Amino acid sequence: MVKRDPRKRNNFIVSWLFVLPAVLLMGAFLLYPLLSALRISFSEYNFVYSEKPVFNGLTNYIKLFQDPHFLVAFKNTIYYTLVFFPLFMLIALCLALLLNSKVKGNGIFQTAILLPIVVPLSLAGIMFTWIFSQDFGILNHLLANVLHLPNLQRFWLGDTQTAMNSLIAVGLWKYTGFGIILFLSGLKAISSDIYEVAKVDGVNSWQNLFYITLPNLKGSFSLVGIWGIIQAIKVYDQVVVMTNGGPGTSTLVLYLYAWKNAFSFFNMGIGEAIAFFTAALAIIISVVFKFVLKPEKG
Amino acid sequence: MLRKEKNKSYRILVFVIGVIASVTVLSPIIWIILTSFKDVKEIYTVPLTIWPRKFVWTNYLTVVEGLPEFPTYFFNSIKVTIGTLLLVLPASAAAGYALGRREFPGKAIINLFIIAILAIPFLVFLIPLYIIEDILNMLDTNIGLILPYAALNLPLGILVMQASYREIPSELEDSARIDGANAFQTWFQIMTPLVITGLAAVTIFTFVAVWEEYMFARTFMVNTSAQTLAVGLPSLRVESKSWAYGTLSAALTLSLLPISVVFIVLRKYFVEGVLRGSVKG
Repeated sequence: MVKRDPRKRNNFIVSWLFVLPAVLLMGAFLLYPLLSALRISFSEYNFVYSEKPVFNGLTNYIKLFQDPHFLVAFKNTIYYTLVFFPLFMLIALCLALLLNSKVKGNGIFQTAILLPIVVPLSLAGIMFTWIFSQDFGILNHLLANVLHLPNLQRFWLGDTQTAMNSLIAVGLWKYTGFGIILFLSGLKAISSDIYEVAKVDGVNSWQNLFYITLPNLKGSFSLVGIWGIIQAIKVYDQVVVMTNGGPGTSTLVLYLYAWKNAFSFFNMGIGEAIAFFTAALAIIISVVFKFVLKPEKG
Repeated sequence: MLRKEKNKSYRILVFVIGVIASVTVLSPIIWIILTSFKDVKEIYTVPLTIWPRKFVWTNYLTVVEGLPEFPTYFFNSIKVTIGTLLLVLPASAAAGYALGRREFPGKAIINLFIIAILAIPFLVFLIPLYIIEDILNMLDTNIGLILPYAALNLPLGILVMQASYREIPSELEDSARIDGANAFQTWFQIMTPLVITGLAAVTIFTFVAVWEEYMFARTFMVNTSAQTLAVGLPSLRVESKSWAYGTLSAALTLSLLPISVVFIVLRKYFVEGVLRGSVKG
């Protein structure tokens, strides 16, 4: 059919010429690696010793759940997410609601709060390692000499009790501003007519918030929520720079354990199985989120 | 009357919270910048000072003169970022135009693939890409980062450009065709000048993504000569595995400078672009 109509064939060729560069790049560096990754995750593949991956079925995935380190990494990632996520959402929402009013300096506040999004996490990791450091860290200095609370001084990154929470603080510093901006654009999209009508009806500010603003933000909740959870699940950069999984295994997370399996132990198969496990986790949570916060049609 | 009073005090409250939030967020960066002007002795003197007793340039001089790695990292970051943009911008504009405004067989599959890729964490691609680069001798080269970065940033770029081209009224395209312009001319001369904001959005978020990327760069660039700032600076540890904070604070300040300038200039498009991309995906 296509061949018989020269105009149609021409359209087909021209359209494909437009998409060709993108398709070639994505095919070579995304599609082919994705298929290759799937194969590796079902194979025994030690990059140093073996030439080719040897198919071994589900062995890698079964091995994972018998590996205590993997279970620790899974647990730590869940802990990171469960602490990071509510704080991220709460701070982002509250600051967005406050900054949504016409206040002097609003633009400057927004730029300042969003600035960490461009600071590479690995460099933020250096900055915060120093801030949290025992002897010359500004945090311990402030606690002891400014707030006069020397009891709260810690070896923040060397203590299994505080290391993970310190990494979460860095994540919050980096990402919360972006959550604020996403919420703000959701708030701006709510029509001011609704508030006008509510004003005539004598609705107070709290009722405004709970009956108008929050229900209308459902779309933003799903957007910010999915984005925030994915940032938590893929936590990696600041962990490598600040603790590299330690002390002990207290900050070993999924991304880091996958990396170690692949590039320290050269177990590419296990590394890839962890990667797909993480991907499945991220996709399932996103889908659930989208489903729960589906905007009502009306 | 009462309402107005209340409103005014609310505004002052919001302003105060805004100032506190901004200062809190910026404080680590301010701390680094202030420290970079301190004398090395002052940095390691307890109790610590926040404001430098005396502003000195020594740390910056050490970075420029005594740290040959720094310019290497810096120019690798610049080269890789520009190289990636030179691939992502034209490729996403061309593909975005075809996918946004033309009907052709295969379009649905490409769109489906793009959406699927956006849902997959990059970690999945790391191991096979390493193996490919090892075979092709691309490890420890700039191109070894540019090609995967371009591919990884294309899906979001295409989504943004697709949405941008779709917003243009079709009369423009029709009249160009009647005037005898071919498809390529229509795309490049008539349509693309109208999607500059979309291109700005793709530029800023690709720039940010490449400048900060750590995992791929760390894995593929083992040799100092090929490393970018995000990977190189954390590896500049002195003996006993700690960092020399005087030099490092100056190096950090210098490496945050270009990205901050780009960000402050293009901030509006950054937000717009990511919103467009993520709403679609």
